[in-house]
Amino acid sequence: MMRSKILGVLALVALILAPQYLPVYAMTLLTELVILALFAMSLDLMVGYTKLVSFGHAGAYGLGAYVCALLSLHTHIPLPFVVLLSALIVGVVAIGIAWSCTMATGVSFAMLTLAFGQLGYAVAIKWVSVTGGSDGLSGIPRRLGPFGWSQLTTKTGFYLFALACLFASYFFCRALIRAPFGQVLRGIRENEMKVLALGYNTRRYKIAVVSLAYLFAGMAGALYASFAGFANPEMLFWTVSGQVLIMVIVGGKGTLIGPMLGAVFFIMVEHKLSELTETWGLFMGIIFIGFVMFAPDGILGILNKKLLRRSGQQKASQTSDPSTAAGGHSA
Amino acid sequence: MTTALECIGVGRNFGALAALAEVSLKVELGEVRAVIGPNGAGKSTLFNVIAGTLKPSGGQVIVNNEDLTGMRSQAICQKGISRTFQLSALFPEMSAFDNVRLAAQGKLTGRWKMLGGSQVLEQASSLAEQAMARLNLKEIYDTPAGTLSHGDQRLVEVAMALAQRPAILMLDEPTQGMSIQETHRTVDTLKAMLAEESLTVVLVEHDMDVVFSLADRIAVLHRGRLIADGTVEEVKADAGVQDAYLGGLD
Amino acid sequence: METFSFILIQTLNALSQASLLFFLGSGLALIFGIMRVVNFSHGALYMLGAYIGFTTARLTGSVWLAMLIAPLIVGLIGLLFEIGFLRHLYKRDEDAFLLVTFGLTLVIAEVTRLVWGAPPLQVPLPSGLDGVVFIFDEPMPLYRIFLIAAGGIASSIIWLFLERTRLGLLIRATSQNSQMVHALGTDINLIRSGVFALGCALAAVGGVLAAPSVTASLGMSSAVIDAFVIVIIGGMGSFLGAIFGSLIVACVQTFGNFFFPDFALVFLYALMLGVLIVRPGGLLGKEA
Repeated sequence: MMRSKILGVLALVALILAPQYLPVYAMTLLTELVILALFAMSLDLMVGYTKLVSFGHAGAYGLGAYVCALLSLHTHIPLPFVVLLSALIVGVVAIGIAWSCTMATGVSFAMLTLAFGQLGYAVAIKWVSVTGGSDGLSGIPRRLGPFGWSQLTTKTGFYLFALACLFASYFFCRALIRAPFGQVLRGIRENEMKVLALGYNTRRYKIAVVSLAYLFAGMAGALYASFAGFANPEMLFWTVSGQVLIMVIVGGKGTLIGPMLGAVFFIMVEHKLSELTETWGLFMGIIFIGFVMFAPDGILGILNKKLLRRSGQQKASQTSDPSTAAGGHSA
Repeated sequence: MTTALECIGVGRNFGALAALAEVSLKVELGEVRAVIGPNGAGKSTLFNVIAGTLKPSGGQVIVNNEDLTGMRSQAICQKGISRTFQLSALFPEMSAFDNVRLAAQGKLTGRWKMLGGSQVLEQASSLAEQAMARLNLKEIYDTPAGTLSHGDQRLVEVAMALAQRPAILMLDEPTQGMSIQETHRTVDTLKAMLAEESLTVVLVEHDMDVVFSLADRIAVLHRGRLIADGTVEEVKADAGVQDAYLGGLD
Repeated sequence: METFSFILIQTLNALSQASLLFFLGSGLALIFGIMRVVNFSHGALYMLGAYIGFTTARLTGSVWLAMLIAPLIVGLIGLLFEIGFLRHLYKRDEDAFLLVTFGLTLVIAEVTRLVWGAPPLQVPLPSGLDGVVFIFDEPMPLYRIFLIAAGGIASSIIWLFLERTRLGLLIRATSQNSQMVHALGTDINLIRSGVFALGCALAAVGGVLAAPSVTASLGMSSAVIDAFVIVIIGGMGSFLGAIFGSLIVACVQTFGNFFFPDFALVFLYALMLGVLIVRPGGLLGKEA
């Protein structure tokens, strides 16, 4: 416990100080990583904590990007408010989507999320007057403010803002997981039928968690649009949903931190391998399959096992022997 | 005595098969009511209809003078009926304690809280402690439920139902699959629990010894119909019951 | 007279579309019927059928030959997947299967992109079918008539096979109660692998038949959604249901495309939602 807390604080400090020490191109990469970490973490709420597999998470991401783009292009709302507002709008829209998707369970649920994601993609391409069609929207400015501050719109300032969004979201999600709500999600993950029998209206919890997941994904999308300066339909395509799913599974689902590691892993592999070979996407797919089949706890899971073994802190499994536990009064 | 639960002419069809037909019985407040019968008699069907997992094809289910016929299991639970499952339905990777705590949480207002809610969690924890203490389950607090012995799992099931402070506790074959030792232990534990606290219990059981040890009154089902209803002595002496169990089984 | 000709033309269009969808959807239905899991890579295999068909046609000069060979190759690939990977996943929860087949989709999509490149590829119409037939003075590609015939004949053959042959009976029995069939002495694994390969081959037939009309493109792998909608409408695992579902989806697409060209997708998804709400097991379904 202490070890991970220390690590956490160190990581936090390192991330905050990074702009002082890292060159510009590394900072750009780091900013992108922070945004993708948020994107991946949002999906973990669904996949890792509630066992709701989604193939359409890019829909939330892309929607957030487009909403942010439209707000930034057509209004003078300051950047931080644009990002928060975009996230909120995506969250509200997501309630309707979540309501529809939770009509079904299992595979049907996953297919519905895919359908909505593809629907978003189709809308982005066809509604040319609003979305700019297949070219998307570009030249997205970072609006000054509030109070005319220009700090948030610089590279470093923006990075710190994105980092703040990631941290705030992380702490919110962590609180959520530990709250009564989070306990119910855990139950749903392990045995939904029993949770129903215990008196919970599980559908409502699922709608809530999906909406929240979409909200944070929308926040990530809005950040990306401001970061890159554009939003295009590709951001909603199912392959992007696949990529974020890979980040969650390979990083370690159900941990919030794992998917962030997964995002780092994914981007590093992409950047390193794509210089060497055109086939990096293929490797990524194979790695993904490998993790699903042989290492379902992901990178974080592997790290945890190694750390436990090294420090000798094997959790003694408390097996209860029924014949002794009940004392001697059983005849 | 007040009636806690009443079934009036309850029926349930599966296609052309009448699994239940015209079953009417009353469960008084604070009594232990056993429902027995040979295989296929309709015990589980009746159980599931009362608990809301199945909708009846006819008849009514009235709990504390409120008509709950056809309500879903989630709503019926909120009305005060907690049940166990014949095949243990636990949360395998959660500890036994967390299992019971989640059960207790289900009846608390604020069970949905996203932020804060530590009060709710504390309340649920203390209810869970009480329930597990009643059933002598302190030793297995931290054991993952999926790794528990069969007997312990059945008891955790009961603890979960108990932690919900139900008006009516429904136990579906609690000693199913247990060894003789485990069965005795379970019966003793349940007896002690019932002695401490007056509960209304509906019990479906196959093991006659368990039934005779725990039940106040017994209802006997055969082929979906109620063929006997009364105290343990009355049912033991009933010729129709003897017939159903020993003779005429085809 | 004009409305009649319009309806006739559109119906023929819908029927040819239904044929293509039938090959796509029936494969998925058969696989689900036997294995109770959804093969997410179904759309990717459909796409692979189109691309392999393209190359075969290039190499042999005959699109007809391509239509024969591509399904065989894809069927073999599917068989190898099943034996190599998927077989080991049946015991794990359905999520693992879904994720692995999703990973397979990504892999197939990447391999396709690497081998054939990103731009769509044009497959010529098979010789003899590049003509046009006039119905009420409206031109109707002969190819579409061929598709209707192909779909009708194939669905009849497969239906007869399932209903009237011993092997077909075994397959149907396995999808209802595999343990019983196993207890009666049949090798379940053989049947499963065989049906899986058949399902993949059917998807590939759909792909290679579709290629001349729609061109082979990377976007084809999202056809798994269409396949899923068909199976949902027709009932998970029901072969007749797949035929029924294909017809419905084709009509929605064809007529929807005509009246509201931009909303056809919306209609499709609305249809899927509607069916899932009313009957989670599909209209002719076996299982929720």
